[in-house]
Amino acid sequence: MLLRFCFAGLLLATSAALAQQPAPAGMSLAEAASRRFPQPVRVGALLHRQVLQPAESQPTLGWVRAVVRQGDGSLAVVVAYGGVRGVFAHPIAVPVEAMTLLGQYMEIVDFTPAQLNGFKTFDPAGSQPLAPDDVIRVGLARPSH
Amino acid sequence: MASTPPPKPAATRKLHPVPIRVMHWINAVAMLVMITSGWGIYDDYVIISGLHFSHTFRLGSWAAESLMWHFAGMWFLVLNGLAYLIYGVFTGRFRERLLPIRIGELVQTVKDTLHFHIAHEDLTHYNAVQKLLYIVVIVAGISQVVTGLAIWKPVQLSFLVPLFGGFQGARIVHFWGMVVIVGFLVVHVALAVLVPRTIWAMLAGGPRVGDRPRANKVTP
Amino acid sequence: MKSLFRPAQPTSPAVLDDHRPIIRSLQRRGLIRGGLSLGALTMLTGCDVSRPAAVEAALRGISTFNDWFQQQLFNPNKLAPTYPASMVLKPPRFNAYYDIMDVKPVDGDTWKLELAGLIDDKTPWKLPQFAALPQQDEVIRHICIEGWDYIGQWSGVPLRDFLRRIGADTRAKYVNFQSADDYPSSLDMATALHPQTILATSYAGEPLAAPFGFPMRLRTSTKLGFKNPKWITAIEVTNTYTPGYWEKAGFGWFSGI
Repeated sequence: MLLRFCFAGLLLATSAALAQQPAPAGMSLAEAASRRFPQPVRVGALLHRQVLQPAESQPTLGWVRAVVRQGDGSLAVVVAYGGVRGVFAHPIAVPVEAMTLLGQYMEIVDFTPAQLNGFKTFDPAGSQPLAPDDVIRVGLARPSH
Repeated sequence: MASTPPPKPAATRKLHPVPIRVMHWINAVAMLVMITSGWGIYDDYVIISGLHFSHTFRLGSWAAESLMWHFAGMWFLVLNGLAYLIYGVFTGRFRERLLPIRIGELVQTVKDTLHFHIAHEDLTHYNAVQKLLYIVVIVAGISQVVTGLAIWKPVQLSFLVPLFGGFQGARIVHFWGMVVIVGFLVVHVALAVLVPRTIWAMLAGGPRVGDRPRANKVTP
Repeated sequence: MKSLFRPAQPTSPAVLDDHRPIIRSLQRRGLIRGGLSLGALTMLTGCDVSRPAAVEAALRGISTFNDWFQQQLFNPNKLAPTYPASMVLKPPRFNAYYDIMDVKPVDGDTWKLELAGLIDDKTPWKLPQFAALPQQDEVIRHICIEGWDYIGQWSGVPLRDFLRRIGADTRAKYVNFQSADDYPSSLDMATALHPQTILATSYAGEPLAAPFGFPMRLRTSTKLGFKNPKWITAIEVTNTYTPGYWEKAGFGWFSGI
């Protein structure tokens, strides 16, 4: 019986490892995001949220600073990224389609920390911050463990 | 820091009577079960972002098994702990071995320890640091039970939850209680290994000691 | 009258004497086995195939005892704390045994709730019929067995009102649920009748969204999150225990909070 638990556990562990659900190969960010059942959420409810990496140890990638509409019309979440517990962090703009809601947290599911390290520091010029009462739609995720 | 020790009464009982030895080892196993199964439960929703316990050190191959161990171990920990507290209070063992703690003695012991003058010839006497550590770990154990109840029954025992600043607060205090106990364990086991006579004493009872000078202790 | 299953002549005590050494050796082996399983307690590695059946049986036994103990601890009149609407997390947290992309939305127009077991009127129910009943709104904390929590605002028909309306035998032991995502669930009757147990159809004043169990899910304030099936399709009142999805995997059945 416990042996069966072990297998169940292994299966769960395997499925959990895939739980971050990045965009499947050949699928655009927007297409993948649309399949994560995007839900309406107030921008004000996203500000200051902790942003996690979808990994078993649930590391913190940063904190939400703003949601902006960029010059091309796309929405991005400005995340204070890197540093040590927010100190020496620099803002980066992450496409909202690459992020998910995980309860009170947000996750970046479509970029690895290595990729995020290559993001250039966010430049507010040419983008328009959204007001706290604006409502955007963000996809969902389940816990990654 | 008594200047002249009182004449030793007749040595009739062992340092660690049988009940203490039995309860010590039950507690040792129960604590290990609680700590390692607790790590398995912790991992599903970490408290310190990025801190995750390896499968190697977890009791239970996944959360359901860890929970089964945790909810089995809790009975041994609580019932044994309760028996230990009652025994310690009613036989006077706590008062005899853990009190009083004098600040001067505490400072002196810390100084000695920093200079590697660790006195452990006399197993029957705890220095001030030892006394403090034992009291801290007993309080941590009690705290683990209370926070554990708050996490296990936040509705039926809802009055406990605000004591720790909410449900997550209770989880955080429960986590740090574990850290305190693991910290104690590291020191406790390291010292026991350095002075193996202490391990033997906890198995066989140790040296004979005098009867408790009760008359001295009850004076106000 | 002498039992037909007893021999006419009692067994000679000499037989026992003759085999005493064997019996003693068997008893010794039992002790050794006991010692081994105690030793296994200290084998603190994870997935151990060699774990003796005795440890497994002990763990299961204590788990069953814990289910019973929690039932004794459960106060049917004790209400869970409620919170101001300003604390509600919108949207709620998603969780399932599969990923978000695998959620299969349910069509509210064709949905119906089937009824089975110890119920007088087993006519299936449609969504508008629930909307016509008195609704209850509650802002309660959702606590997952994994350790996370959030405050949610749920409304719908109290389960106890519904059970009475359909003539369910509320002296039965269990209320079982079936769901569109193949997630069976088993609830004790005391919890089913608790005043904060509802068949939720809305969240924060809006109809439930697809990933959170549209058109109907259970919300009970006195159980861990996994005891709240989503996308409910059938309710059965019964005295027969059927383990739910996670109970089959090893989580405790009662799982009260």
